[in-house]
Amino acid sequence: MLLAAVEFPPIKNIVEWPDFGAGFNKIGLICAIAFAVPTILFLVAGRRAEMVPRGVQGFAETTVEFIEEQVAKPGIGVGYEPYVPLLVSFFVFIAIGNLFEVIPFFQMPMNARMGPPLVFALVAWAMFIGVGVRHNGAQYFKDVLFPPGVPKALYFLVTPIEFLSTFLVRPFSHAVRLFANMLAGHILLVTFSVLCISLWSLGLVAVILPFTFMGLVVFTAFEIGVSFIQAFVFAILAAVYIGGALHPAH
Amino acid sequence: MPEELTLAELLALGEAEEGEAVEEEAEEEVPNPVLPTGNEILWAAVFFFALWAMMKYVLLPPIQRTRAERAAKISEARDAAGNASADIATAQADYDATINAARSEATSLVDAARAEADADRAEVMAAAEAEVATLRANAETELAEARATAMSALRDDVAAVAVGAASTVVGRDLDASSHRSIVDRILDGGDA
Repeated sequence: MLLAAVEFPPIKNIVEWPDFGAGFNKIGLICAIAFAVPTILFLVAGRRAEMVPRGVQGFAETTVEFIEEQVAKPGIGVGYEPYVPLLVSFFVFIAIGNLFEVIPFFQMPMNARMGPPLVFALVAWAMFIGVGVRHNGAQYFKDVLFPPGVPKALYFLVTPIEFLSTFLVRPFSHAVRLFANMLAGHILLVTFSVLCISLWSLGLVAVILPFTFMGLVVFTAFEIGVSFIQAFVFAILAAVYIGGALHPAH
Repeated sequence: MPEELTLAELLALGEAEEGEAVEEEAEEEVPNPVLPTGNEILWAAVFFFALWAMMKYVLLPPIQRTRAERAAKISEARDAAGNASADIATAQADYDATINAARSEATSLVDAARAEADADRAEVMAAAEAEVATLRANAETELAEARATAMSALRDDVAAVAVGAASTVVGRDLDASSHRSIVDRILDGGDA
């Protein structure tokens, strides 16, 4: 009966933020910080570069090496080098933007709004199509739409599917995967936070608070992991798409 | 206002105060949380493209250069270590060859010295044996001469005694020189 008094805030209250001016709201501020933090760190790392990396330089080199070894090489293969800056940008920008889900006073992941993931997905989409055309010309579209080895009679079925999945659905699935995960995590943390506040107000059921609060702590830690995992997943998918366009025969 | 009111109840009270007209207006303005908004797309695009450009032209090149220099240095040090190992192996081989040559030379020197010593010993032994043979021959000659001299003197003495004794027996003087041949024949084992 008492729990019936718990009221979840309207969705508007947890995903929309007022503008500071010129359409610059909390999401814009998080985007600015997600740009500024890696820029400053990598600038410091580059200017104090030493043979034995330490501190910020170690962090920057580890990030770059991680993207090269775990994302670019497995996803793209031979000729991955030109795409490392894009993949590093994807990873650090998305990861830092996601981490604001658990940073006090922000507590809103950048990618719980559809705008940023859509931008990243469209960049990846334009990049892999551009790479495919640049390296393979019109043959790229032929290889994608008419996969070799498929009986010609099946092309009437395979070609529309490939067209839809590769050129239309892929950017949206790429964006929605990131957006939906972060929005779900955000709503999860909001739910546990609201529950904690409500149970705190209802002194009779305060005994439940430790469990609810522990759930909030555990899911906060979980969402920190999700922040990095989603950034990694987005980056490696972009690498796989680019690799598929660069070496369509594979 | 009662103290036991919950946050939710307070929120509900606040909302009730706004009036039905306001609620209807708010319900109409509820945004779709899935649809992107233009301003957020704009700021995300601006800052992401800025970061991408910075990564490509400013941030990553010095880091990549440092990593490449480190990799080259490590490779160089590894090559140097490999060369040092090769040098060590060469030095070890030279050392072994020198040691083996020295051992061979020592062995040949020892063999030569031993052969020379054997030859010298044989020569010395031969000379000593020759000298001993000479000395022995000389001694035998001297002994033979001494024996002959002694035998001659003994013969003379025996002959003189025998002739003297015979002279006493026969009562007259006998010529020793004429009876000497008899005495010699008796001493040589012949009959008188």
